[in-house]
Amino acid sequence: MDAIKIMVLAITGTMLTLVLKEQKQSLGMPLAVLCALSVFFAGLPYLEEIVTYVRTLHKSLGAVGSYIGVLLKITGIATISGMAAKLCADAGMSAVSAAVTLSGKVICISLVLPVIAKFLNGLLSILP
Amino acid sequence: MKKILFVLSFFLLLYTPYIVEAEEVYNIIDEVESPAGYDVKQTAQDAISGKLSVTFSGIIQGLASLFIGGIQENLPEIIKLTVVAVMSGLVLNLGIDKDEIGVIAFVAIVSAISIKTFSYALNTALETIDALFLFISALMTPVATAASTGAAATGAATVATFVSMQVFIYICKSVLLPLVSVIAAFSLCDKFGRTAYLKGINTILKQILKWSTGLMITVYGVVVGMQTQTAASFDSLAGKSIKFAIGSFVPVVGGALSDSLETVITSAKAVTNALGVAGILGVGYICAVPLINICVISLSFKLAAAIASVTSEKRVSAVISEISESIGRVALILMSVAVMFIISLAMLCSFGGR
Repeated sequence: MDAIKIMVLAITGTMLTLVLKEQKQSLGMPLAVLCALSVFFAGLPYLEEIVTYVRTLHKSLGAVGSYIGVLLKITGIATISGMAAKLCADAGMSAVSAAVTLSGKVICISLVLPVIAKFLNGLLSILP
Repeated sequence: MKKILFVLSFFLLLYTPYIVEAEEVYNIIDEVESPAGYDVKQTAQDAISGKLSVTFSGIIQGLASLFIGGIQENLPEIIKLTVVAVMSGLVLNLGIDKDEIGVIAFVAIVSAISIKTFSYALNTALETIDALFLFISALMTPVATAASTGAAATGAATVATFVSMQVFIYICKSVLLPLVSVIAAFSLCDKFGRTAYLKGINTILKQILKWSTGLMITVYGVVVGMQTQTAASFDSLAGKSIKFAIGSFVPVVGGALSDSLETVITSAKAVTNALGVAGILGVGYICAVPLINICVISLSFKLAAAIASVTSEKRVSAVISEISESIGRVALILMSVAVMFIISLAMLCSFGGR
């Protein structure tokens, strides 16, 4: 039922945005952003459940578990930056959209560097 | 006189590495002859007296218990790997678009876990090959002495076989096992990108490894076979000639002497066979546990890859599968070393002193 409510909210928001854009263009974009954020926050409690479960697995994974937190952060940053970039693109600001995508990727790469370093150390240990 | 000089020089040749690595040899012998372990002397005595009770069902039972023990030992690592791989599929699907950096991160984590296990398997194989060599070095002296009794050519064949073993082990440790590491490294690096750029090179290296292993085993088998066969023929001829000469030319006691010579040779043959049986069982004892452990790890990784392939990112399950194959290659090389040692011992003992 919650899924249906979220879908109805999304479709209603989209229709209102389309109508408002025709009437008053300046209000269309904020409504679109509001609609996107509402839908996102409506689904957030379920995401929280998934993250909590993954965190319980993290304890049983030992040393590897520390990297799972990093991976969740990367996924979160990629999702949020992707959404922000698409909203900017919808508003016609393609340069801002590209900048948001780039900064999201740079942050993700900086977070993943320790994992890559661990992998490279392991690789060097097995090479003759 | 010639025979005495030969036996003395053979002892010198064999004892030189023995003296240098005496401590290692003692450690290996102590480990193998531990109260719960393997006693070469007792096994040889049991073999001569006919009390040796090694049955096929007993061996199968022992191997099965080792196999199950190996699976239980490796289970936590495999579960860890499978959980991370399955999570990769779940977490990556949370993103809006295909999160390439997330995929790379998961591939790096799974690769780091897998490399640790591969490194353990590789070190286990290297240590086992060293242990096998030291065991065979220690065993070679009594085997060669017993085989050389009335059979000088077999003694020479023992030396040639021993030298061939050293060359074989050197090639395995310095060429084949490092090649397996390089193939594993290339396979892992290839999984980071969407396109497999190193696939061609990897295929060539795998082919080189396969051909090298086959060629080496064939050449080693031919060398050992030729040595022991020609030595056996020569010793058989020499033995008969000596027996005839003693019987014909030694007055009064010639007949009795030639019969006693045959008794000595037959007794030496019994001792050689007993030592050979003890040696073969010793080789099996030394390499059974590490070999089964490595095989179990390889199978477990294969199972983890199969389970992970259902939900995980394709590249993540491919990493686990590649490491499983690399560990399988390590097991194959270790098995070929053990088999070649067993074949050498069997051929030396069966043809020696005939």
